[in-house]
Formats: sequence, C-alpha cells, structure tokens
Amino acid sequence: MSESVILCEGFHDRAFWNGWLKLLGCDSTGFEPKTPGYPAPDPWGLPVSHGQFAYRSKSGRFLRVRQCGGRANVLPQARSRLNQRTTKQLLQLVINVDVDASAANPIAGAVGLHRKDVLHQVQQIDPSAAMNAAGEIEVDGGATRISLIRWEASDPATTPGLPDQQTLERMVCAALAAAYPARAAAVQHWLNCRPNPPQVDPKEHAWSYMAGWYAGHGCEAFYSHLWNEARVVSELESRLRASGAWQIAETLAS
Amino acid sequence: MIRSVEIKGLRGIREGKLTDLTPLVVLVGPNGSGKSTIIEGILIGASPLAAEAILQVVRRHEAGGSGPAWLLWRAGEREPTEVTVVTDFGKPRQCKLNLERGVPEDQTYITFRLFQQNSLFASGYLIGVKNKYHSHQPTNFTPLEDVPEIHLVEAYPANFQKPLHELYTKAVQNGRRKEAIGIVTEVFPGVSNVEILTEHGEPILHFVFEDHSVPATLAGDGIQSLLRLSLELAASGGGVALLEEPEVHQHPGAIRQSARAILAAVRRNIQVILTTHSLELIDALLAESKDEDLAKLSLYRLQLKDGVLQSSRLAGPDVAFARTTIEDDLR
Repeated sequence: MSESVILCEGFHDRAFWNGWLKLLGCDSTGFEPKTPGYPAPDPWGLPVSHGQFAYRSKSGRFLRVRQCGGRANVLPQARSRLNQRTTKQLLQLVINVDVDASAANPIAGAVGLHRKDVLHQVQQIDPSAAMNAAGEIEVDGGATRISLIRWEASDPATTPGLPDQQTLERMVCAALAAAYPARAAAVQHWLNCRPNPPQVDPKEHAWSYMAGWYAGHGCEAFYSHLWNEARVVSELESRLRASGAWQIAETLAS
Repeated sequence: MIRSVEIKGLRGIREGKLTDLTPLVVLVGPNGSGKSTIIEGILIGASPLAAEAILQVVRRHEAGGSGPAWLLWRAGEREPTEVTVVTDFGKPRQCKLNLERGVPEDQTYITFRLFQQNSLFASGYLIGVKNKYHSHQPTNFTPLEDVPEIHLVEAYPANFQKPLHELYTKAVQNGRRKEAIGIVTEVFPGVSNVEILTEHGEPILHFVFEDHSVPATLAGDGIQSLLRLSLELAASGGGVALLEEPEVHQHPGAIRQSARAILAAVRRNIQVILTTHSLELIDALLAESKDEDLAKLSLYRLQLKDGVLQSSRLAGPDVAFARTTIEDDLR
C-alpha cells in the first residue's frame, strides 16, 4: 500500500491538476462523484474526502491531490504527511506553490519557496535527506522522493493580457495569450477600460478570460477545461517543460 | 508515567516498540495493526499483579475457544515473549513469559518471570485446562515507580471488571461524585442522580429519575459504556488507565462527554492510553483540549508487517493541525 501526493495551494491549482493529470492518462473513476464505484477508498480503506481528488495512474498507482488552503499551509501539511510515511508509504510528494514574484521586477531568491527551503524543512524530519541529480529530495534513502513545482511563466512583462505576479494565473494567461493573442488584447483592453478599477489582483486577468469562455461552469471548470484546448495545451506544455514540472507530472501519471 | 513499551512475541506482535509516550496516548490504525496488543502488553508489563493481568488478557480472547498459549506469538513455538516498560524514572521492568512443554495435550502451562533493572524479583505461572485457569502469582505486590495503579477499561461488560457500585463508591471516596455523575446525567435525559440501592440485600447502582429509578445495567450499551468509563476514571487514584475503543456504542454527544472524562483524568495526572477507530473521538479530545492539554497528547498510527510493529508518531499540536486545519484522516 502506497501513494503519491500533490500538495497545492488552492482550489484552482487542484482543478488545473485535475485536467492535466487526466490528459496524461490518470483515471479518477470511483474517486469522482457520479462515476462507477464512487466513493472508492484510498489504499488504506479510508474515504477520499475533505476536498481531495484522487486518481489511478496508468500503471494503477494511487495518486492524491490535496489543496492546502493557502501557501502557508503547504509546508506544514508536507511535514504532517512525511511524519506518517512509516505507516502510510509515500512514494512521491509534490509541493506545488506560486512563485509570487513580480515579472516586471524579479528579485532573484527573494520571494517564493525554493528547493533549499524545502530541503531544510525535510532534514528536520530525516536528517539524511539529500538532493539528487534530478533536483528531487530523497528521504529514507530514496524510498520517498520530494519535488517542488513552482508556477511561473517567463513571458515578457509587457505582454498584453498577463498579470504581473508569478502565479498559476499568470502561467495560464500566458498560455492563453500565446494561443489566442487577439483574446489577450481584448482582455487587456477590457481591464484598462474599467472606470474605477480596484487594486491590481493577480486573478483579474484569468477571471476575464473565463468570463467569455467557461462562464457557465465556474472557475474550477475553467482551469480543468483548459486542457481540452489543443492550442492551449501546447502553450502550457512548453512552459511547464521549461520549469521541469511537465516531467514530474509525467512520472506521477506513468 | 510510562514512557516506552517494548514487546517481543506477544499475540500478533513479533517485535515492536513505542517510545516517547505522553500523558495522553491515542493509538490508531487498521484492524490487526497491534493496538490491542500494545494495550495488553502494557497491562502485563506494568501491572503490580502480573498473573491477574495475564489472566485478564487471556480471558479477553477466550470467547472463540482459543487457549492461553495464543497469548504468545505463534502460540509460543518461536521466540520467547518479553514485555518491557520504562517509566519516567528510567528503570525498566520486564515480564518474560514461557510456554512450558511436556504437559498434557489439553493443558497449557505458562510461566512468567519479572525483572526490575535486569534483576529477577518475582515469578509465577498460569495453568489453563479447557478454559479453566489456575494461576500462582508472587506474594509481593510491587507497583512500578510512578505507576501505583493500572486498569484496562472495557467498553462492554466483562466478568473481570469491577462492579459499578464499587467504582461509584470509590469515586465518591475520591471526592469526584459530581464529576462522574455529571457526565452521565448530561447525556441521559431525565436522570437526575445515580445512587446505590439494594435488591435482595445486594448493592445495585441505579439511575434515579424524578419519580422512579432503574438499575444502571438496564440502560443502553452507550450509556453503560459512558458510565463505566467516567466511573473508572473518577475512581482511579492515579497511575495508568488503558481504554479500548471507548467510543463503542456511543452517540457523538456521549463521545464528547467521554473526551471530557478522559481529559479530566489526564489533568489529574492519570496517564490515559487508548485505542480508537473514531475520528469523532479524536476531534472531541482536540475540541475539549487547552494548549497545555495538547502538549500532553501524542498519536501513534500503527501497522504490523510480518509481525513487526511499525508506527508513525504525531505530537499533540501536529494532531490538532492535521485534524482542524487540513482535516487529515489520521486513522
């Protein structure tokens, strides 16, 4: 009995992972309402509940996605899960966060969570934990591997239709803008036209794209259904490969 | 307070150890993960009356017709059985059990030897013939330092448990009548009091309503288990209380009262070591806990792999984070 776990910040990240993992061949049958066999238990016979998503990878391994209710909870939740690894075997743990730095004024190393931060935390649980050549942290001699995925996109800050803050939303908007430049320009124009705009919000661009796309389904469906658009998928893949995230997700889904 | 327990060759545990035990220990894990064996090992290892403790454990499992030999790992055919407990004082006490050979087929003969800091200080035996037991135990009553009493509290009636009226009497003598009774009257509508009445000259504990009373043993299983738990804890003068699934038969409201009784005992310096499958009980313990209570809590998730006990330990604040912040299913 074992599992791999993805810990992400919020519901939108979870929805994004949902579409991505299914594209990569993962199966949520039994773990998703209205699918045969629902509610299927986890490998320890416990319900998959409290907002968790679960899948079988292509080879049948159990994969869990948990949203942590904000970045502040991601590392504590990782620590809690690692503390239980003796009796609930953990093959791979993915820690997924926004970089949160400004695209226009990036300050190297000043913002966001880095591998060395994660390694420092993990070494408090397993002092022998170390980074391997692939950039993963190995715990218990490699029995558990930990990866860090940071949402960011290197698209120029001047690109229309993109928020400044390096988040999931910026990466999604960058892919949408590259796939559909006219829509990006329209979104930027719409936002610029607001007579009394509120304080800049990193989500305002993504919400604007969503309003004309999947408005009837809500924002979580927006982040999942992105993966149904071939042009968007291509743009997402190039950005996720650049950060190394795509390779990690492929391993999880294999 | 018991700080660690190490078991070799007891029931399903070939070997295993739990360390860093705290005043309130919660054991979770799937069926067959060794929770009950840990509880029983502590009872055998820490009890001042070893033969009585061994007999109590044997009787817990006799319903299926299994002989006392099965108390030992693989019926005593392999490694010898050893239970070692260590308290705050750091002096280990060890109980070694051996299945003696050469007795008639329908008999089981188990001997035990007790060691304090590796020195033999007492020995005895247990003979079982077709589920009838005869035991000899050392005459010297030697409680562990810092563990004057140890009790295994069952949620269901068992013939080796103390009668309710005796527990009630002791609770009253300890000045905790109100505490013990309040827990029951809060979940049992209409009950205003608990009193010992006599029937045919026998003392019987009764629930008292406004215009009548009924024997406590006539109440539902949930009320009875809550009453026994609250009386056992209120009657205890210290030491260790071992609770096997205290939530059994209980409504969530009663589980909350059980949590209060458990925490009240812990605050009186009674070490409580319990097994549970109930997230509601864990949540109730957290909800009733203050920060200083959380510091006394630890949760161990157990599993057995080829008879080897494995455990994951969470300290109280980590249990609170796991349940209240991220709603982790710790079972």
